[in-house]
Amino acid sequence: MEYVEYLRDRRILRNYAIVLLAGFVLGMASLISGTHGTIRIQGTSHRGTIDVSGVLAACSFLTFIIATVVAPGLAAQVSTLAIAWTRPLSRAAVAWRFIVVDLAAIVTAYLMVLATVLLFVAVFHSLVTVQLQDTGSAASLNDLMSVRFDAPQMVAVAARGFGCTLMWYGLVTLVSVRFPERCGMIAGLSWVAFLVLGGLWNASFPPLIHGLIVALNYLNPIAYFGNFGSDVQQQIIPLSGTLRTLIAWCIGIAALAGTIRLWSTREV
Amino acid sequence: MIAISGLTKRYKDVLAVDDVSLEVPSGSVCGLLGRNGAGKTTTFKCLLGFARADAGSVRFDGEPLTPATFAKLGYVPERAQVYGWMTVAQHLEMVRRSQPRYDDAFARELVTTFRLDPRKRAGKLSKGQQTALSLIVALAIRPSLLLLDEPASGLDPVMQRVVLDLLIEAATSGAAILLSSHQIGQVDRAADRVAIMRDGKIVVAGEIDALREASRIVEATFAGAVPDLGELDREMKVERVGTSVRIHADGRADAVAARFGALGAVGVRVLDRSLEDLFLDAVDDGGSR
Repeated sequence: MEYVEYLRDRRILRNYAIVLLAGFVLGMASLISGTHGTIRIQGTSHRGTIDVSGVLAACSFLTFIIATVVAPGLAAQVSTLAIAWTRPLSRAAVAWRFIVVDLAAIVTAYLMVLATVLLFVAVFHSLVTVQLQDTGSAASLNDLMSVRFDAPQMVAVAARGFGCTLMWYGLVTLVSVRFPERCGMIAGLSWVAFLVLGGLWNASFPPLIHGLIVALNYLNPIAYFGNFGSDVQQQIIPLSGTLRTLIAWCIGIAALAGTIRLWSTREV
Repeated sequence: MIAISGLTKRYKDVLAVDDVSLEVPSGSVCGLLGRNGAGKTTTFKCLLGFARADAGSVRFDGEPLTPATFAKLGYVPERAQVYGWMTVAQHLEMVRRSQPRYDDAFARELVTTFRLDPRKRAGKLSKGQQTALSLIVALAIRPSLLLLDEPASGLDPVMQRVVLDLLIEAATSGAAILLSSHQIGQVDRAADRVAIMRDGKIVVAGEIDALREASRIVEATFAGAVPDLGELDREMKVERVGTSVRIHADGRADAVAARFGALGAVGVRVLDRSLEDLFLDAVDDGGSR
């Protein structure tokens, strides 16, 4: 049965690759047309910094899209149960296989975004010349910007990114399997719900409503994803980064366990 | 063999399946007949584990339903269930990957028989072709147990005949087949047994030939008034029309015919009853027809 989900996810990833490619080409075209192939810098003391952790965070955020799109796959089987439930496999095994295929698609999507970003930097490096404004002499790309590798931070960001993606995927899958006829709508509305919930945290409300919003945000992957600063009080979920990562993974796993139970015990 | 014993399923206040017991031996096709809402589809759901029965048991070849049962069980639902975005060939590949008994040569033969284009997406197929694909998915494993809920709906008469021939062939190979259909002609052609449901209960079940034999009608015409029929009047259903009389012989047609002869009937005929007659009698709720 996982073959069906494999085909479906392959199609989704193909479309995703086309979107990434289009973004790559448009970004590159606008950069080159804006600089005419040459970037002039005043000196080497004001160079910018590319934080690889930030790149990984952006990759995670873009991967939420794929998590949302693949999540209703299991629930959508409701219209083909004569096939899905009549294979010589337990329903739990069918669900597990669907989930494994989806998670593989999510990881693939993450790597695709990362590869696109790296390719973008590489092509940018080869096409754009950096010159010093004063002398007109050539400078290296390193004079324009520096790349910051902070291994522990990168691991933390990647772990939280995957945790939040898993949480998003798990919650959408769970609710979709509960209401399979509306699985597409549920996936689409998850973006609205999570973004609005996260946004409401910043708004001024009476303490009771604010408390309710904070409580609801405990089920919001974006709230866990948050910013990666060290000030706990600046987070929607006022917990340390490690704890937020851990909770996001736990909620994701629990949601998937609930999905499998719901799928296995469902009657039609 | 499919053995159903005391199967009961209730949805809130509705008793959808009421103490249904039925056996379909290997090598047999059993037609499951009934009006809409009689409980046929719910019975199928309970058999397949799609719905949990409140009471009763189901055994396939002596074993309860487990995932392993589906390695030898084919199911065709009332409405064709196919993946619209997948091609016919991808459907076959899906079955190949998930079913150990998949017979690729047979599956491709069926695709040719039903004139399906393997490259075509299922969503682009006509309703009848989707039904055919649904049948191929079920039959490609050469199942020894087959459950079919209106399998030929949407098919043209030629393809309906092909489906029935496939079912007969499967039964000849030893499969136990439970076939639900509103088209009594199909059941009459393919089945050797029948079970008729009304209000969730099986009201008639048995071999079609035996049921027909038991339901034969003897019609006699007398020269004058119909004489006193004695015990026939008391034991059987008798209809008098002028100088003629019809008796539902309850399997004793020959004896009844002989009795009419002895009573001086000028003409005696034994009438066979069709499966449709049996069905209409069984589902007659006294006024809905």
